[in-house]
Amino acid sequence: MGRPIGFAFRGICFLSIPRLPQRARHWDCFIVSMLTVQLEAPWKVGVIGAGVVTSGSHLPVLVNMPEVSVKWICDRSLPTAQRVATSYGISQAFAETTHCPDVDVVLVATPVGSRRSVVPEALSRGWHVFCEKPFALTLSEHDMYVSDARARGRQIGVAQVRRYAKPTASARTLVRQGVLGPIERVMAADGFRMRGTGRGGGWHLNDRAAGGVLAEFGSHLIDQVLYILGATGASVRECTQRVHRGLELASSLVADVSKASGPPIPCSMDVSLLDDLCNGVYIEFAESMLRVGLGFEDTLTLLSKDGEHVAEFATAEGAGSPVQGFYLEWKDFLRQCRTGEPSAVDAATVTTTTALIDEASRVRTGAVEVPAA
Amino acid sequence: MTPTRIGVTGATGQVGSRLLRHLRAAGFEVVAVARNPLGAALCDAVAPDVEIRVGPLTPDEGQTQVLDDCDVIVNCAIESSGGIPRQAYTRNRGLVDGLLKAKALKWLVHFSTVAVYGELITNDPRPGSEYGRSKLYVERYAARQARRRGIRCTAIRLGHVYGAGIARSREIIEFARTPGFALPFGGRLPSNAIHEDNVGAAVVRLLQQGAAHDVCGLCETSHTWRDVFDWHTRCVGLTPVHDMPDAESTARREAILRQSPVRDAIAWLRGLPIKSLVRSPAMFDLALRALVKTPSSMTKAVSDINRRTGARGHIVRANAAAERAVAALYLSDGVPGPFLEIPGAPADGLGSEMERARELRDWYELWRRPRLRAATAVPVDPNITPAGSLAWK
Repeated sequence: MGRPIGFAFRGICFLSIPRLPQRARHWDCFIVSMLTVQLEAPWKVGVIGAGVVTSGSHLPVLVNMPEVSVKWICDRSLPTAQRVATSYGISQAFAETTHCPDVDVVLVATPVGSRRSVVPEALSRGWHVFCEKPFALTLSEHDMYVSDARARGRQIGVAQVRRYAKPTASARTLVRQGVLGPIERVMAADGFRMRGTGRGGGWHLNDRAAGGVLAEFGSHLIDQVLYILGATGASVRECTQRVHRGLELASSLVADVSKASGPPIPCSMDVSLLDDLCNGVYIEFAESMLRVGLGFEDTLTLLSKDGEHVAEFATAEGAGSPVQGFYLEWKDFLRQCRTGEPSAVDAATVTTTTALIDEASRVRTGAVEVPAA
Repeated sequence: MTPTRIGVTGATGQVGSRLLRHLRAAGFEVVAVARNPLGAALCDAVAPDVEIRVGPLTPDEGQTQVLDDCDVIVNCAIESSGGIPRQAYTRNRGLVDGLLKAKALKWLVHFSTVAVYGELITNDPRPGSEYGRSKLYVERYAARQARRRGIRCTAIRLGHVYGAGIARSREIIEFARTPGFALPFGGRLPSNAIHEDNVGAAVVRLLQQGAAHDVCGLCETSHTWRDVFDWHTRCVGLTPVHDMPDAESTARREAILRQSPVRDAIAWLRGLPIKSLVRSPAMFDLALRALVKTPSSMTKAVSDINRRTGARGHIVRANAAAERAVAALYLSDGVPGPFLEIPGAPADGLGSEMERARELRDWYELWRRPRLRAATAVPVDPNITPAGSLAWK
């Protein structure tokens, strides 16, 4: 509750300042600002899940944000939580969320399948919740989290960090302004041949997580396509998956994506751990094509219809590195928590992404389940 | 010895996954080991008729080794250093120790690398990178430990592997698609490269006939880079790459040979953004204050120097942007022998010339252009334009 008091106090002080002589006003400003800095305590943030995305992406950003103070890390493996806490100078580590002290905001970075109890608990304790992607596996689960947060007056957001990537952010502007004409179709792919799984690899494809590449990697790709297009809805036309030993290793779906105006746009989205694909989001117009690189340091390129390079856009918007991306999304989410106004990472803006993943997993046709040898 | 059951580690990797198919095709009983369910699923996708076991390669004390019943283990696995260089040694040493615990093991075939000879091989081959040093260390460690336990050990120093979807092939094709790219020395240098199918065939031959040496190289010794590049461009229908003049090639080779920490430090000092410091507001004001009190002849001389050196910097940067860096391996001499024998390609089926070309073409089609529903696409028939794809060049 220190935050509203801080604002109120600052407001009162500033109202009184104009009556002071110039020199006194200067010093009063300094004193008042010092007081408000003291009163406006940093956001207390807790972290649930001490995996790679936490230790490698979120924490380096959070510990460098002056408006944030990371209070604790919670992971079902206490040694892991302690190790990560030690390396980032965080004082407390827990294995159970029930033992965690209250904070303002919590980052939920556990696999999507294991957060069904975590998110409601965090909301019930009055914490704002920032979730790693994929947000939810079903639309009903998604809606439940969002409505729960609304009912409790808390904010809930999703770390769809690729929305902040320069090519994606700039492509969204280009599409919104319609400078290249109406879109004919979109082809998006994110595929590579996975050649090593490492020691602990594979957690993200087990049942506790999403069960496959569509939710794990596809949630990035699908969200990028929908975000760039400014989609208002989408319906799956067909979906095919390659499944080996119960794990979905490649998914291919065609969907009709609706916008606020104009006819639905046919979109093909492919994710694969088995093959290198022509990675990127390719937006086809009547006379040209736009290639949107998936990564932060990737390019936004204008191509001719036959694939010839025409020009590269100097992307001004967005983040040029993952670190910048994570920083910007945290800034946006904290602003949303402060003002209550939805930001680019508001969970409600990811609804179509969840809906598409949910629908694809239900309507998939021709799924290839290869029996174990 | 005739192997009865062959265990393969690193079975999802570019060498291991291909090797599984060759060993099965040669009639061996093969066990692939994966460290987790994802590895097993990927392995299953590549070689569905191979027995796959999931388990740790470095069992704890009292734990059984997952390849206990294999009399031969082909170790294609590599433990990552996890960003800590020391772990490249300790973890890979642990991996070898773990494999040598297999009860029935009689022969360990350990994959090493040509990097043990250095990035740019000269007449004095020695590891020039930390990767090469760690691989050489582990190779020697494996031989020593195997000898101590009475297990035969063969180390294979593997050349640069190419083939459909392999990073080296992707690089070669990217070079071939880059306007202005030229192959150093016209590609006359030995490639030290090997097609993934030749790796498989050579290992099969090794297991069938035994090894004459404990340490062998494995690369297509008769092939030059021109052969390798031309094979790629021919398969995917690109024009052959141009030759780089010998003088330029020699200059690039010498630039790599001259590399040293001192040169790097001097280059870094030269690259320090002194001008941005001078242009910062406070410093700029200070500089102006100094300049108004400096005689004109002196400021003019400084200005001339600044213009000259500034232009030089811009020219260097323009040249650097125009020319694509060529890795040391394209400027390297051949690796020393002895080599494993590579049998000729079969007339048809796995490893045949036609099959290799078709696979490269299929991969290229998937990789180079977007199309509707690519991820689950069946292999491409080059005579048919896939539905929904663009008519790209």
